[in-house]
Amino acid sequence: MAKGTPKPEELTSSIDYNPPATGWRETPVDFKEGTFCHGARPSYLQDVGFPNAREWAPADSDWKLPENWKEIFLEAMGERLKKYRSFQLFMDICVRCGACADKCHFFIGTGDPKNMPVLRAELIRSVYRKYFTTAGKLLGKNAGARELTLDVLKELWYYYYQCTECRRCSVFCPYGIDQAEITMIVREIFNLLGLNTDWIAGPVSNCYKKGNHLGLEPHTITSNIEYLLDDIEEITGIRIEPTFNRKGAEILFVTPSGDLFGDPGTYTAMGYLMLFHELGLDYTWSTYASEGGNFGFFTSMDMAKRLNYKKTRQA
Amino acid sequence: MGIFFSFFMVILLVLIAYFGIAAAGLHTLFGIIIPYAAFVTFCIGFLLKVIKWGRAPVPFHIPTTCGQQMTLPWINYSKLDNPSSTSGVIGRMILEVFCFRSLFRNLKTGLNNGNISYASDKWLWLAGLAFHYSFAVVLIRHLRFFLEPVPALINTIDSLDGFLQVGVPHFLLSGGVLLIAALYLFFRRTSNPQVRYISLPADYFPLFLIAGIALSGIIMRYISKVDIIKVKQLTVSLAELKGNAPEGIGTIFFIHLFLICTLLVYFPFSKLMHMGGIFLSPTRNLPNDSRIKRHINPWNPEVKVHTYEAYENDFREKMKGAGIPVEKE
Repeated sequence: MAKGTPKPEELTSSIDYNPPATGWRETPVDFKEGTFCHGARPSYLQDVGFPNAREWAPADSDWKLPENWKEIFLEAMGERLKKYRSFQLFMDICVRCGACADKCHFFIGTGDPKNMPVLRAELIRSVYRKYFTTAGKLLGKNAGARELTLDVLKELWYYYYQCTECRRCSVFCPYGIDQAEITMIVREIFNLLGLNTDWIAGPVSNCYKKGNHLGLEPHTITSNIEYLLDDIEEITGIRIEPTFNRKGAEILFVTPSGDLFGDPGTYTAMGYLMLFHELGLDYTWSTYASEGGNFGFFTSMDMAKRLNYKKTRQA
Repeated sequence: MGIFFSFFMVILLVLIAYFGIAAAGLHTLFGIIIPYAAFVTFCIGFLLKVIKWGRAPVPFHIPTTCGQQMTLPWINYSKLDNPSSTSGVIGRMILEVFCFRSLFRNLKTGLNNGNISYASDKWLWLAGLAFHYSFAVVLIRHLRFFLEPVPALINTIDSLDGFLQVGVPHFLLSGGVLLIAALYLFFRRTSNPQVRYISLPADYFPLFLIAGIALSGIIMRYISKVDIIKVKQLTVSLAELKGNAPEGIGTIFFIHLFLICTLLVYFPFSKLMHMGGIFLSPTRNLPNDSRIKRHINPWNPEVKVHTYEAYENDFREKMKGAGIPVEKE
C-alpha cells in the first residue's frame, strides 16, 4: 500500500515522542496510508466458518457492520472477562506508571502515544469501565470511562492490529500486564464482527485447508524440497532422499513457517536436511501438517486449537 | 487533566472533616461510625475483588519468559526469569513483591540524531520502593495505637525509624520519606510527557490522598500537637470494639482519620488493588512448564477441524502424481 519504501533516516526523522496537545480521547484516529492492512476477503473467512464475512476496507467510512455490532462486542467482552483471569485482572490493576510506554516497537517506531502498551490497553479499559464497573457507569469521564462508539471501534481496530503480540511490555510491567493477551482477546471480538485483516485471514485459511500458511499444495511441497535436494547434491555430491507422510517413522518433522519456500528459511531447511541425513534419523515430513506456526493466535483461541489439531493428528 | 479535580476532591474531604468536628462536633460519626464502616468496606471489597479474579479460570499457561527456558539438562536455564518449577515461581514472586524486580529492568528510550538509544532509568524503581516501604513502616508503627501493651518489635521499629534522633519528639524517617516519595511520583507524573498523557483522575487522587495523610500526620506529630492520651483511648476502644470517642483530641486528628477512611473505602474499587492483583497475575505466578506437562483448557471446546481424510480427498490425485503415499487409492 505504501508508495515506495522510505529510507531509515526519513523514518527516524519523523518520529516525535512528545504526545499531541489534545488528550487521547479527543484525538480522532487517523488511518495513515501504509500503516494498516486490507480487510479480510470474505472467502478466507468463509473457509473457516467465521461470521459477517463481507467486502470492506478499513479506510472506508462505512464498514458494513452488522446492525447490532455494539451488543455483539459488549456481550463477547463480558463473556471473556469471566473466562480469562488475565483479561479481568489486566483491566483492573494497571496503575499507569508508564514503565511499558517506551518498550513497544510500534511506539518506538511511530511515536504515536496510542501505541504505548498502556494506552493501547486504556483504549479498551475505558470501554470496560463504562459498561462493566459501577464507578464508570456513575462517574463517566471522571472515572476514565467512555462510550463505545463507531469511532472508538475504529480506533481500537487500528491500534489492536498494530501489536505483534511480542509481550515485551509484560517483561517491564511491575504486575506482568501482558498486552499480547489483551490484543488476542480484542481481536477475537473483532472476528465476531468480520473485522480481520487479509494478511491474517489468508494464512489461517491456508493453514486450515492446506496445512501451511503459504497455501502450498502437497505436490508443490515435495517439488520445492526436490529443488533444495538438487542444490545440496550439486554442492556436496550427496543425494538425500527424505520421505513424506510415511507411516511408522520414529519422528514426525514439522518445520518452522516459511522454511519450505522463502529465503533465507530455505537455507536453514537445506542445513537440517543434511544434518538429519548425517545423523541417520528415522523421520518423515508431513504435507498435511506442513509447518509449525499457528496463525490462529492472531485470530482466536479456538482457531488456534483447530489448527494445532493438525500437528497432533498427523503424529 | 484531572489534576485539579483530584486536588479539590482531597481539599473537599479535608473541609468535610474540619467542619464536621470543629463546627458540628460529630465526634462519634467521624471517630467511630465512619472508621468502622470504612474498615468493613475495605475488607469485604478487597475480598470480593480477589474472589472475582479467583473465579475466572486461567485456561492457558502464559508466564512471561525473560530468559532461557528449561530444556535439556546440559543447557543452563534461567531459574528465576523463566521458572519451570514452583520453587522458581516463588523466588520470582518474592523478588517481584519485595524488590520490584520488573521495574528494576526499566530502560529509557530516546532519539539521538536520528538514532534510537536506550539508557538505564531506575528512578521510578527507587521512588516506588521508597514509597511502598515507608508506607509499610508507617502502617506497622501505627499498630502501637491499637495494641496495649505495645509489642517490643514495634518499639524497635520506632527507634530504628527515629535513629537520627533529631527534634522532639524524634523525627521519624518513614513519614518524611513517604511524603517525599509521593511528591516525586506526582512530579514524575506531571513532568514526563508520556506519563502525563496517560494519567487519569484515578492516578492523581490517591497520590494527593496519601500525601494528605502523610502531611496531616506530620503536622499532628511535630507542629499542631494533639492529645495523644485521648487518641490512644479512642483507637484502643476501636480495636476492642467498644467505640468510645472522647472530646478534645484536636481537629487535625479527625482530618487525618477521615482521609485514611476515604483511602480504605476507595481502595478495593481502584487501581490500588494492584496490591492483591500482583499475586494473581498469570504472567508472573505460573511456571513455564507447558512443554513438560499438558495443560487442558477447562472448557476445552469441541472444534471443527479439517481432517486428514478431507485433505486427502482434496488432493488425492496430486499426491499420487507426486509419489506421496495415500490411504485410499
